[in-house]
Amino acid sequence: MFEFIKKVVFGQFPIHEKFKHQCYPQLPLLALDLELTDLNTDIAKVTSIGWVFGQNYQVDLASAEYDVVRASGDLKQSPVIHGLTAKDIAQGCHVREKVKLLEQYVDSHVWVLHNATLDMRVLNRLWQALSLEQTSVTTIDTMLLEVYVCEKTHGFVPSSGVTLKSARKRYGLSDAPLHNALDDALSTLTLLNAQLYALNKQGHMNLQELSHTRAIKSYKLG
Amino acid sequence: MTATAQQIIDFLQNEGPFDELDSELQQEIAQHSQLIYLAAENQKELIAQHKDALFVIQSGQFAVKDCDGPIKHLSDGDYFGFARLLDKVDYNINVVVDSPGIVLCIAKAYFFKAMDNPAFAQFFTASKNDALQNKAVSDSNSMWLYKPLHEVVHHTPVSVAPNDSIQLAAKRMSEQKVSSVLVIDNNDLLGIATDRDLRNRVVAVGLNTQLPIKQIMTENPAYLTKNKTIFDAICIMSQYGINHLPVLDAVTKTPVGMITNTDVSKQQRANVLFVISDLSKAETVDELVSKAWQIPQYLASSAKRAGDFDIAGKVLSQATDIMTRKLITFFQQAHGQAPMNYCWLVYGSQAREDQTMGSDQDNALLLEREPSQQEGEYFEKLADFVCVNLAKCGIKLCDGNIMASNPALRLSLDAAVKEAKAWVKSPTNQAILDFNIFLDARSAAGDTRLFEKLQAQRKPLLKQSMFLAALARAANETSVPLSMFQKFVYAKNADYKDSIDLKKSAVAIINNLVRLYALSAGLTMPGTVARLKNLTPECGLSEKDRKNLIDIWLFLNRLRWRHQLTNNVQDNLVRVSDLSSIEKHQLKAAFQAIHRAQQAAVLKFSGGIG
Repeated sequence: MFEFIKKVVFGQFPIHEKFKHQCYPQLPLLALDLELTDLNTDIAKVTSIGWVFGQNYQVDLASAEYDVVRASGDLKQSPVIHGLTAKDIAQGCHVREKVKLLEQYVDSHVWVLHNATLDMRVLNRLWQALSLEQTSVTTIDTMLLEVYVCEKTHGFVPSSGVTLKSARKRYGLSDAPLHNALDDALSTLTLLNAQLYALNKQGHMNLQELSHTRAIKSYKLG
Repeated sequence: MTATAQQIIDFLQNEGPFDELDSELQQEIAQHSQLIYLAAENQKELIAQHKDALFVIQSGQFAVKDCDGPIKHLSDGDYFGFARLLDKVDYNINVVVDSPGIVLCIAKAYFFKAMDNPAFAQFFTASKNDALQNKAVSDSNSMWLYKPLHEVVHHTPVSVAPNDSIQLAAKRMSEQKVSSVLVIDNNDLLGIATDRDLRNRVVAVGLNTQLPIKQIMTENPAYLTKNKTIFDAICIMSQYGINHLPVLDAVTKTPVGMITNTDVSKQQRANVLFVISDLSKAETVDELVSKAWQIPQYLASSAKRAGDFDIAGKVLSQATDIMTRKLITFFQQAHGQAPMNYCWLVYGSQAREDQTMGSDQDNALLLEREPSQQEGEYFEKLADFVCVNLAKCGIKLCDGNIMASNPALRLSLDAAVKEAKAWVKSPTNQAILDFNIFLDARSAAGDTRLFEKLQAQRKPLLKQSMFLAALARAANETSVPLSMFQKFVYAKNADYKDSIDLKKSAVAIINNLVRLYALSAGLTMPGTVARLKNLTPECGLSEKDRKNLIDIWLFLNRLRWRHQLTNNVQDNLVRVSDLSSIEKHQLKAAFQAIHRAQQAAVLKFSGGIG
């Protein structure tokens, strides 16, 4: 009953059973980033999408995927920010192809995002629009994890904030090109490695034990 | 679709020697590597998984032992694991994580693919041999001879068409005041006609000057492309006994100019040796001063290649010697001959012949005997005159007053020997700092035999082990500007925050160390490179170490010179941001080698007591 109320109120589902008791190094990870035309998730369009896989503090660069998504209508300033030209966008793939590809990894991987809420809402909308089978995905949100770390360490979130760039800086990680979906996904995954190492050096904590950080969430799709 | 992360490409493009690879291979490496987060708890497992990879550190600090060599303290931009790949020996890779971070693991296959690139291969082979990568040390060149022709040829060639008359050709030569003309058809060089051809083939035989020029021209003349050097031009001219050489574009073969014997001799006149010999021709102090000021300008405009910087210090030192001798002559012309034999000594960089634009004068007078008051006054005036006018010539007065104008530096031979005995008797740190400079000495004017006598008497004194031990300790007082994790430590209070004082923090240390070995071996020449070349393996430095120190010394001096000439400054505060990626690695390798040499010297000369 409580779980049901939680789902209704927070729109959240429990952590995928098979990941619950896995320690961080064992978790198969997919770091994902969507570049959007708008921060309003009700109208935002996806302009590009990038992801990369990792496990056990390793990232396999050969697994990197990136595509510009074909979009129409008002794209606002977003493609400019993301370094995309109108030609790129016109020649991009259909968002359906990418979402269908992602669907395969819903159960097999824990998804890693920086500010998951935003991207997951857009994905949820796409899931519905494409009439894909309803499912849920377990995520680790590096932004929420950073909020947890900052509050635990300083008692507050520093004015420098918890953007991907500022969070990486705290762990001595180099600047990466921002606003490119693949680079942001890769930067998010390497940030997560640094965050989780700092939190849990021995790597003994499982995903459920890490959920007290409020960075582990499941999102409904469809 | 599969893709490449831009951040990995950026990293490879900014890290030597990966920046030497073509973009296709950079792309392949970026696509097929692994990124690992290396921490104390997982390093064993992760290193074992990737043991056949080249590890490139992106962030973090690690102490690594990956071959028979010593433990290396590494941080961002550093590499490990290559010895295992190059030697094909199953070395264990032991890593102690001081600060966890991201490491790029490049698979063996891609490492060897990159090794097909000569610059990449040289970098790693040299890193493995722990030597400095210095491909151009051996080819020190005379500056003017190696100037490319496109820097010399500025005018489009005077030309005629093949069917133009001989008279038209002669008229054009006369109008343009040149002694030859090119015969060109559709931008193709067909021939050349010179003054001599007109004399021998037309006037002497009474040929009709209305005939076409093609009848008397030299067909298919020798030529050079504009990327060749003056040296090449001289070779061709001597080989064919000609005075005119057409210069063509390297690709299109269109004539772009002409180089003549006169052009060559003009260049030769601008050669620094001529500038120096010009100094000798000065008749007055003013003339000398004005000629002396041409030298820095000449160096700034002509020294462009690494080899140029190697001889620049020598050129400047020799020029300073000539200025000194000229000034002494001018003084004597006004005040008469010296009342006794004397020798004008030079110290420090002038003695070692590694002066730079910022070097100040360090000199002294050595007198045959104790002077009377009157004799003393003569030498005082001489010293003042020379020092003040050297300063006018651009050689700064010495802040530390190491100049012959200082009475303490106008000693008789006996007093100088007595002084050396005092140094050896109580070599305190301060005393060593004070007299270190006097240990690199050379005679620049006057009676050289006096200096030879002084050297002969000082030699046994300066070889004493207590004295050498004190020198070794003093040489160990300054550290190279590298942190424990091989990061550059920048000079404080410099105008640019990424500056390193290459003189104080590196060159001076090598000079001190090499002087120590030279004194111990009884060598009397003052130059650091000359000392290293004359030391034998018995001195305690292997041939490889000596060769490496020469390379490092030349490399550091090139950086100092380039810094001074390109930034138009006289300091030695080289900015790291001015260095290429490979130079940064070379500089780190140089500092590490200097540090090792310091430790070895302390062990050899002071029983390990630094």
